[in-house]
Amino acid sequence: MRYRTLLYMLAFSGKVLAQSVPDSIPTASMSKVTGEELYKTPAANITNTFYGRLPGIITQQASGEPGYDNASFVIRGIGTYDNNDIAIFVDGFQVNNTYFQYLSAVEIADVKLYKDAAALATFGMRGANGVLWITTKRGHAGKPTVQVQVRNGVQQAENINKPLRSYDYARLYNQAVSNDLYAVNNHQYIYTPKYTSTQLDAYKNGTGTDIDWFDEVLKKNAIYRDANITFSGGDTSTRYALIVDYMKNQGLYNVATNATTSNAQIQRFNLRANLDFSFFKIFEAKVDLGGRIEDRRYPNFNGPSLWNNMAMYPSNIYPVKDESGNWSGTTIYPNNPVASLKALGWASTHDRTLQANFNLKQKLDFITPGLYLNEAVSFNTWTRNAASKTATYARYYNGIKTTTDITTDIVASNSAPSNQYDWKQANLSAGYDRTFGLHAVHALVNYFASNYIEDWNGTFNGSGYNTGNNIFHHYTNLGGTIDYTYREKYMLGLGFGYSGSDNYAPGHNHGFYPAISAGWIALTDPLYLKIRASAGKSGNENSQQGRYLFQQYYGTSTAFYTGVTSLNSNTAVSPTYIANPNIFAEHSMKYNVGFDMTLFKKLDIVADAYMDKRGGIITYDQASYAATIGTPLMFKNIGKMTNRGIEFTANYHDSWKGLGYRVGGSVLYHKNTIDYKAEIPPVNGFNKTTGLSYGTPMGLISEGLYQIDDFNADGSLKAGQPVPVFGAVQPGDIKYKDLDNSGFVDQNDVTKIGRPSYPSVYYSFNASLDYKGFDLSVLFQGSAGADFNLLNASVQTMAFVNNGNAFPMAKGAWAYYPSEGIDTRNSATYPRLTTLANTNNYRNSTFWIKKNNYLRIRNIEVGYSLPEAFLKRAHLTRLRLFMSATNPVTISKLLRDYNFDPETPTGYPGLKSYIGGLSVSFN
Amino acid sequence: MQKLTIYILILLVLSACSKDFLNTKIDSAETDKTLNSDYTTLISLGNAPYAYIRSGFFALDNNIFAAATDEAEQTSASSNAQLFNQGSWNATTNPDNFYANYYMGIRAANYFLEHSVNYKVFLGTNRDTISSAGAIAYQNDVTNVAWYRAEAHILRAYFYFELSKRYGGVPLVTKVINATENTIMPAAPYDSVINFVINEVDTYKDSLQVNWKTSSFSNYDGRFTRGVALALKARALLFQASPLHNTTNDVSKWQRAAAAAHDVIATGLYSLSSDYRNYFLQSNTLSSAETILAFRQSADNVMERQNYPISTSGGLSGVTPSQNLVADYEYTGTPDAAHPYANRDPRLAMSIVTNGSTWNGRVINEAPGGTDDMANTNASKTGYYLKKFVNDGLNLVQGGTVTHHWVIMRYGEVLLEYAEAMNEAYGPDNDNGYGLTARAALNKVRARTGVNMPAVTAASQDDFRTAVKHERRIELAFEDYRYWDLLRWKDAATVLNMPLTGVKVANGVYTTFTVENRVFDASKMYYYPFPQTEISISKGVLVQNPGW
Repeated sequence: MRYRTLLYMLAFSGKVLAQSVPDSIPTASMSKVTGEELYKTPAANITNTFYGRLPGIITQQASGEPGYDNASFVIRGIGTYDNNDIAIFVDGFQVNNTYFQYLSAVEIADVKLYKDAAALATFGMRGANGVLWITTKRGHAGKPTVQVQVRNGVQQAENINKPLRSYDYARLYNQAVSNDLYAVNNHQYIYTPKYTSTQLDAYKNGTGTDIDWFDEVLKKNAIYRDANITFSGGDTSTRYALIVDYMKNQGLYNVATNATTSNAQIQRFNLRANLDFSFFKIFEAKVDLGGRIEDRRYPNFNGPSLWNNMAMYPSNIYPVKDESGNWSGTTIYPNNPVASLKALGWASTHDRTLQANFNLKQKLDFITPGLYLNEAVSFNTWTRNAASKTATYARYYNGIKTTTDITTDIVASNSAPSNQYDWKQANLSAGYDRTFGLHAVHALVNYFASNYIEDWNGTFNGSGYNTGNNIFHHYTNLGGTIDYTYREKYMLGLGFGYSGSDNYAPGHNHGFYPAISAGWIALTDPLYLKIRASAGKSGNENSQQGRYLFQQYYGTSTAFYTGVTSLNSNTAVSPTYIANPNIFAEHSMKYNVGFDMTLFKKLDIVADAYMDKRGGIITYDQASYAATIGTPLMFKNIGKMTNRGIEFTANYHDSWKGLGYRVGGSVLYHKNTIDYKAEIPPVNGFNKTTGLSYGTPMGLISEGLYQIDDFNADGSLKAGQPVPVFGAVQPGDIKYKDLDNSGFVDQNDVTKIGRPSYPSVYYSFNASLDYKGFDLSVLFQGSAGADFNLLNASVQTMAFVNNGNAFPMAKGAWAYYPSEGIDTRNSATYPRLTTLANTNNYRNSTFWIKKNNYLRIRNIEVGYSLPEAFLKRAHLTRLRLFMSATNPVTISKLLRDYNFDPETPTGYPGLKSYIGGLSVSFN
Repeated sequence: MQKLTIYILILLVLSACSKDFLNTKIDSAETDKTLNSDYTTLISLGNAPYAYIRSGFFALDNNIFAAATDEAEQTSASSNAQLFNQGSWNATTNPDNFYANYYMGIRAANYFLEHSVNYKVFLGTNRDTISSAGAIAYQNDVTNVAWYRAEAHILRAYFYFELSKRYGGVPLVTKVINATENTIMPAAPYDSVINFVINEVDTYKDSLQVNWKTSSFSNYDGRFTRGVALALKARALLFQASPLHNTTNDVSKWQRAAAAAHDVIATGLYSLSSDYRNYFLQSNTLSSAETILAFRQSADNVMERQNYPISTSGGLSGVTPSQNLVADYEYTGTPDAAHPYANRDPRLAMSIVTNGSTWNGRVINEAPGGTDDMANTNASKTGYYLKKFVNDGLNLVQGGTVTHHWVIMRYGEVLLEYAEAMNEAYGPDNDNGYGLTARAALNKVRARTGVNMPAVTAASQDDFRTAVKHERRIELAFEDYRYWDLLRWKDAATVLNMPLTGVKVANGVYTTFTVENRVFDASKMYYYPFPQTEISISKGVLVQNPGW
């Protein structure tokens, strides 16, 4: 095999050598953040500490539910319409997000982000979406030090969008039912209320049922606390860093955690032992043990469903409990949100995870100076057990049982395993670092083998995932770099990855990914300027379309029934897709130019422009076959996408009369285009989604609302107006543009109606001060260029539909009942209300697309470090007290106009926190 | 020491890049290898085409197709039936776009036929064919696969007939097309498609089971039979003889259609059910000798949920019959404006829920203020509710279910086909030696026990034609014949452009009113448009039907 020979050559010729991966490539584009900086944001999940701290990464907050609060990461924007997941490595070995997300910031020395081809080519088939490279803390020779840190505080919802209360709900409901009788009432709006004025008065004066489900279920403050101890030190032969960390994060639910109920909660216990040994002059050994226990507990009711119910259940449906003290519930609203917390028991999961790495390095300077070998293995394992104590409750309405549910005693279930994985990896490398006169050479070649075994998680069974439990993922990669520097001024880098993946047909499963980069230090002092450029290839083997697409699979299903008195089901077998023996990993060509500049050693600027051209994106080829083929089609490597962007980061630091200060910021702009995705050409050019950015919303162009004079007396639209085909329209409905002038508004009038839901501009800026032991820092982060489709928050947007609720937005509805003094014909900001699923109005259109730009203060921290003189008496080296606020302020038009949080508009909200803490070090 | 390390290193590399490391696929699903391994998988391939037969209960909006015709109106304003009714459907948006579905069925049939060529050898491999029990088992398997092969031919023909009903001529694919082969092809002429159907029936009709019920394989009842093949041929020839496709009024086409219908009658296997109302309910459909082919479904309550009046808990009103249809049910006595549903063809009360009739345990009262007040949201827009296929009094709140079986072919319809074809070919009273005149066939249907309508007296061929059309409208109401009949008779331009009417009742007075105006564009709608995706992909090879 080609690369085996190559490795042999490298290892034995003594020409080249290094450490397991490109720790720093002078010509590459990468950015970095330290664990210490991440620690400034107190957050249970490490992903929530990244906002605005690591240039090049776009972090989007998701649910704030304890234990399921992972933020999403993309590097430099969307490169593919397939899987954009980034690759994450901890201490040289790949981990999945389960392992990464609950690392403690205290364990982390630094996090590097590899962005361009020069850095990513060596990762081969796993490099295309960018790599997050995490290094954990190690001990250094010197006096032992001990650091203790404690933080304690509260978390609150960033924003909760509450529905209307009973009075407004009922008042608007009266309009909605009246509107729905328009056709029956001979195409006239006649007020036919469901709620009488007596009922409305009762709601108004507080004697009617008027439950704020959010208030009933939630409390304002949730607990957050963490504590950690770090021991580190060592000597020339042995060094250690030992870290123990505890974190507890509770949810916003107003319920006790005890034998029968539970708040949402996660506790994690992290333990890390990183040990370094040097012996026999040539050996350096490392042992890293990073283990963790995660204990989660929740009310025994699905979190997202609970939040959905709180939003969807109107205030007037029933009291929490009826007069007889039974939980209220009806067939339409069966899951009383308060009872969901208090009457169903609880469920818990217990996760155990460990990454254990062993690394041995041989410095072979006696063969030739600068040569070394390195061998390392990693075992990473995770298991989850689940246990619960559950009950059910009978639903009552006004003393009458409404469903077949009965109240049961709480019953414990045995702890049972629910999922697991293990991941074995090996790195073998040879490296060579040497400077001869004007020439400096760093070289590294690394062989990586990975064996990941998981159980099918029961949720995703896409095509090609036909393998049940113990699913293997095997992968190998031979990666290497050579960096050459001449006169500390001119740099040239070559890199490559040669990867093999078991996703593809044997004999056809390897790819070669080369890269070239160059740099030039044009100026050194006082203005330092380095210009960089790189180009190269990488791959993405992690397709969402499935694995083993080269293998023809058949699915079984029931074809038909036979028989007379009893029916037999007859099984059919049919292909799930047409196998493609040539299927392979998507590839990426990345181009990057940039410069690093330092002025007066105070101002640092990094700027990059990049382009990522993806090809071979695995795509269902619907454009090449007519239906006459009669089977599901073939996946092919035919998709193409281009992503371009610029990144700019500037930091300035200085001091003035003992006042140190820093200001900085960074901005990322990106834009992607789908160049080819096997779209069948639609009738009209403007219907096409090829050529647009990934996720561009498509829909109709709204032209406002129909008015009464748009209609004839028989309810039909006056001549000359296009007829929408989504159901009969009436005054107050949304009017759409007939783009192709067909006389009908239909699917052929669909076009681009806005921008994708992810931002094209992502920026942050920060400032910090320190003066005589006091320090203050603030971090802002914002984004722009995204749109939000209000219909994606359908419960909040689509008033009354599916027995739903109404939110303040519905107050702007079109209505015309002059007898009731209601006339919003000219001021309406929302279509006429309806209790039905209105497919004309609740349809993607410009009417519902809103800009979603925001700016948040991500973190403010104030600290005070006690003076050294004082500390010495207490045998301390450092004692710092601090207070911080996370996400305290958000500026957003979406928030202001519609009360939607820009990142977590629905479900468990994102969190803000107010925390106090203490950090003590001694030695 | 270093040597040792390097040695280990190389060893590790060698082991990891051994071929097997990157070949981890463990198949638990069927693959090409496992597919032809046993009798069961072979049978599964034989079953596969059946999956593409559609139930008429889910034809449109998860309901029957009737609301797209002058038989009924859909209650939901946003229903897909509205696309047909307002004439706004097109090549991009066609709610009845099952073009690809039928080609899937065709491929499944082709695939089975190609994979079972050597079934006799295959079935005899690695099994006992010597002992008497073994020999019988082997022979049974051989016989069954032989039936399956003949069924596959007729299934394929059935799918082509369904395609031709909608699109006219379509591409004719008679073998498995691989992904490396061309799939883009022009439509074959309509007559070629029908001739293919006829040839398949003629070639394979005698290789089919004649009657599953009386055979030792009664639990296979529901698979295609000789009768199904013959009825398919009769229907295909009737369509081919109809004005839409028979523009020169070639009488020989009608003669062929009449002969084919006679072949079905002559099997002597089928007879009319004596209970028109209950024939369409539950397992009666399956046990009756009227049924030639029925699509069986496991128990559900979709038809009841969709079509019970909104005032019945769980009902959605759904497809509500039109006054256009109700008006066509004959009077058996003097019309009485105050009791418009008295003295009518009994099939009215068996098929349609009218005001004042008992349904779901109550007397339907649609007058203002009544339980079924038409002013209620989502109450019937026409003043009627669907009764045919719908079981009375199912408790939807408690999730009650019952079986429904969609009749695709029945003897009553064959008699009407025969009557129509015979009348066109030979006139109403000439039996051409078949021993059954058009008139006798028609009157047989009318004289069904429990229906007992008087014999048709229309004397002329033209008047008799009107009587046949009328009888089809009444006898076959809601059974998904109306739309296709109107197309093939070329009556759609008139009938489907007429306003759909309903009836309102107040103070005992019934008033007919227009529910909505209907649109049928005769310049194009006699044929479906090919799906836009097919036209786009074919780049001119598949030519869109005229006008679309």
